[in-house]
Amino acid sequence: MKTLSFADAINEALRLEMTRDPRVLVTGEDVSGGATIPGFERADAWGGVFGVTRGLVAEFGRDRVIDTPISESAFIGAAIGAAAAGYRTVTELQFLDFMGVCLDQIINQAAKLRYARGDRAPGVPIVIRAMIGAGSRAGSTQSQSHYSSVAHFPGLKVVVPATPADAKGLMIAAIRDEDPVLFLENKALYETKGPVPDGDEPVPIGRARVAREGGDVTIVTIARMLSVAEKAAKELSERGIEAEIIDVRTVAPLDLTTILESVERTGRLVVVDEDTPRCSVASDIVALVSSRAFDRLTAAPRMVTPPHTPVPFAPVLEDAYIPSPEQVVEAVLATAGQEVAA
Amino acid sequence: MTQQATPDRTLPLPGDTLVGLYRTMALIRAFEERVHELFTEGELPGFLHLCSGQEAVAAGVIAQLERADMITSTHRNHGHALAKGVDPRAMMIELYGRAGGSNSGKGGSMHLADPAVGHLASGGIVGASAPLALGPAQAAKLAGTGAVAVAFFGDGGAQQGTVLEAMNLAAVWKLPVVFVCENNLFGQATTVDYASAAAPYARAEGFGLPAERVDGQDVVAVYEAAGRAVERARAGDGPSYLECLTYSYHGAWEGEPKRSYRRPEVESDFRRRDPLRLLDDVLTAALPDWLDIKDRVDDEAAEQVDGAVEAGRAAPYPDPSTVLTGVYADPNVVIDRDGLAVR
Ligand SMILES: Cc1ncc(C[n+]2csc(CCOP(=O)(O)OP(=O)(O)O)c2C)c(N)n1
Ligand SMILES: [Mg+2]
Repeated sequence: MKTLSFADAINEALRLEMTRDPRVLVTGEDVSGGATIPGFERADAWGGVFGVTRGLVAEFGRDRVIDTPISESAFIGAAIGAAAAGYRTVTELQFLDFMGVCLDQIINQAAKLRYARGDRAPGVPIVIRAMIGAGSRAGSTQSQSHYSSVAHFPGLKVVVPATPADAKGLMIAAIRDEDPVLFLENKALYETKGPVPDGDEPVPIGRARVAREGGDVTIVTIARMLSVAEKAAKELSERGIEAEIIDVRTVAPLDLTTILESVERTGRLVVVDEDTPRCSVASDIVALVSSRAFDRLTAAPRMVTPPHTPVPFAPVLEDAYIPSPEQVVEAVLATAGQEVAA
Repeated sequence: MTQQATPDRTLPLPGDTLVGLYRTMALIRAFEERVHELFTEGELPGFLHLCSGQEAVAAGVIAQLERADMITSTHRNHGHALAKGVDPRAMMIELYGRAGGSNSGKGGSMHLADPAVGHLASGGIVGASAPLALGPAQAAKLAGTGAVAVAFFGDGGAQQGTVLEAMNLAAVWKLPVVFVCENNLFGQATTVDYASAAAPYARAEGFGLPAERVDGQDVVAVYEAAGRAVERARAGDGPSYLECLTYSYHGAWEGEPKRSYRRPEVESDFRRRDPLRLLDDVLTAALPDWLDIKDRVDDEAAEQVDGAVEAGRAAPYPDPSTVLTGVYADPNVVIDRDGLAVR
């Protein structure tokens, strides 16, 4: 065990897998930066806009850590095609918001190649890294958390780590996976530190984690909303309510079993999600639990999400937009027919 | 004593035009330098891409436009907005994240725009400006107004498929649009030489567009080349492409991690050929009363920016409930917090 930041945990996973498997490539805009500039033959200009891929070019060279033009359809398509030749490309889209310019490659090519070519066809082992998350004053097109829009497509796996340990383990799993994985990184988590196991043990994709045990209410969280729920759980505990927190870790395929096991004990469900509420992973979880564990529920499930609007820029508006621990406390109390005491 | 030359013999353009170009550039420079300071001091929030050093492109191109001509812009849009006549106070209030700004606090730096003055949109998606500009051009063509549209994008944006599709469609429909590629040598930390297999303007020629590359530090050269492109568009002769070579003094964005990939000698070459300084030299040599005019113009720019900052500081914070307003333009549709229709 050692302590690493979320960003460094991803970096370590990339380094380990690139060392283990010479067919692992890293591509994207400025994943190294400085291509063809004298002095940058084996040095980063940036190592990614937030330094997540820093140092990889020094170790693995520019044949394997490859800067791209701002041509996302082309380099994501290339990653998909390279998979057929045995390469495993970890390609970076920077912000998930940018998927609009290359959506066909993601949802029709990567997601469907395996299925449409028949059951004996090889998979499409690529990883698309992209940032999600509001709070950085970047406005409506660089702040979204719209993983629901990719989770919707059969054939894609979508992972949303919330801790450095899961970031490392899920990245290792994503690279080794035979299918296309969207690996979504909430940029507000990059600096958070936590214990990370040594070695290269993968964290299985499609398995949720019980992050806190409790018998009174089940709080399901996605990505950064884990820390919001943890703060809420502390306050709830002071009020005598013990929350069980389940960090989904993967939104596609979803581990409903772990959620149902918890709800069967608690009878109450609150889902905390940074995505907008309509047609979302949160609304999907509420629907699934409602239909499959209806008779175990003692109260109507609740969602805590941003309003159904684009992410606003102004700090006052953006801060009001992101789900808060207070809102989670309020939702949990509401499932118990209580109100927040003044 | 050699400064007594007669204006009409030595001036490349009428004196008023040149002073107007200087005025626009001075305002942009003053605005951007102030924003840089305020961000560095922690007073301004945001994800800011400044255009100090690139003023000649915004000023030179937009000086050829009328109010009814539409522009579309990028993440690096402050200069385009100021040149097109978006109110600097409204822009600064927006940058402060206060109520009453140009974008109601919903947009911020990357989305500054005001269709009322012919600025259709800016935005954070590289390459989106080019397809958007086809619309006003199509409308102008259908209505026969003679208006034109200008799409600004960067050398990095020139690699985006959307830009290439837009060029082709503009040529197929013979639209009155001018594609302006602001080549500041880098898209983030990647050089245009690496990212662009051919010079952006040369690629436009493949779509049948008249294309020129000009010195983007020289506002007169930009103005004249833009004039040729705009004239073709107004005359119904279709789209053109203008690549302007320039440089961003403040790099990729405010707070960028490292700039070691930028060669100091390249930067100092561009700074030596600073667009304001080049025009200042021309005017100094040609207009006897230029120094007085320049003082006045510089003071006015500083005052405008001071006023904008005052307005930004004084404006109230937005009411958090306004996050819900403006999702739809339709006044008959009211949605609640959950995005559900309210009856
Ligand atoms: C579709 C898309 N891809 C990537 C980005 C991230 N990004 C923001 S600015 C930028 C560089 C743009 O370079 P250029 O077009 O040359 O404009 P400049 O910043 O140099 O003015 C990139 C890659 C983005 N905003 N949108
Ligand atoms: Mg550029």
